[in-house]
Amino acid sequence: MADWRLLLVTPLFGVSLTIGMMVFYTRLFKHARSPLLNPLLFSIASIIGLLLAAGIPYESYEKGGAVLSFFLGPAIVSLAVPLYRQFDRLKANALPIFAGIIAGVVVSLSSAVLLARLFQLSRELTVSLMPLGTTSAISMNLAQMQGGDRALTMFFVNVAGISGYMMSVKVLDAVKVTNPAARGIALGNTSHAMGTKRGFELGEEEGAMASLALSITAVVTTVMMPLFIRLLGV
Amino acid sequence: MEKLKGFLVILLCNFAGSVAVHFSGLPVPGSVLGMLLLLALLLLRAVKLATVEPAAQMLIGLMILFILPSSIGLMNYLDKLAGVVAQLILIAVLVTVLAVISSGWAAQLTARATGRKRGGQHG
Repeated sequence: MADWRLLLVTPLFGVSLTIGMMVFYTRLFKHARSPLLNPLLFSIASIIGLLLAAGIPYESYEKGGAVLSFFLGPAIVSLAVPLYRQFDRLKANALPIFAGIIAGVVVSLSSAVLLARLFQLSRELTVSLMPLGTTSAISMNLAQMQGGDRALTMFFVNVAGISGYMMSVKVLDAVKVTNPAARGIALGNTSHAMGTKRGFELGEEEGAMASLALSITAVVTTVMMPLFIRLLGV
Repeated sequence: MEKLKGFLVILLCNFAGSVAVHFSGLPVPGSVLGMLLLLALLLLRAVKLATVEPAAQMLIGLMILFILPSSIGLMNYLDKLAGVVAQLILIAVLVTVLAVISSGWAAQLTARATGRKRGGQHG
């Protein structure tokens, strides 16, 4: 009989495992309120745990992973559709949106580099950290192009998303940012999808501005990250 | 079939973005250029919203599934990360707090300034 392990090198294994975990945890956490009870995080941990426990190498999983990852490019292109639908709102609020996002991205990129130096992080970690305010689909590519690692970037992006969801509204209250549009912009600019979720919990204006800010942040970071890497000599 | 046509438009934008990156050598992902291209085509009415919307909504809805596999590569870093995870979380949280403050302030200052010009609609 043929070695059963041959089944693990077909893409079917990685694709089924990934979709299976997402379906399972999405069901399980359907009514969960905590941002930590998050299907994505639990699926990642479970898949890694399972592969390690069964001694299945990353390369076997990646055969299926690559099939799913392929669709990331078209999914990013698709973000043009919500951006287009909100274009009137973007035009009406162009100044606060761009001022807020440029300020946020400049501070995010430079403080990431300074803290990375302070803690003596490797270049790979530093570059993987820099785009943490950008939605993971795009930040993974930004980091990878500069010598970072996609998985490490995902780690930082998730910390930014979850901590932002839990803390940013309190921080904004503390520094007296009360304007709903500004609060939405700050949330989407730093905590991407989780920030947008938090924005919609605050109100329609906050949520809509956060989702706009998420897309614009991706574009601004795409332009500014290579400049900052050169400027700060990363 | 409608969904397939939209998917084709999206794929072609993605491909055009990748081609542009390849020949220009710009340090940006082809997919982001593809997104800007599709936005431009929609604004210029060269592509109808109805053509791309069903496929785009489906792809965006499944985004989390397309992101997930890249994270599994973390299993190759577990040894390296074991001692520094708390430090890395601290750094990421600090960056997020600093960015949220600066972004919120800058947005509020400009929103109030433009609001006053338009008759204080933003308060």
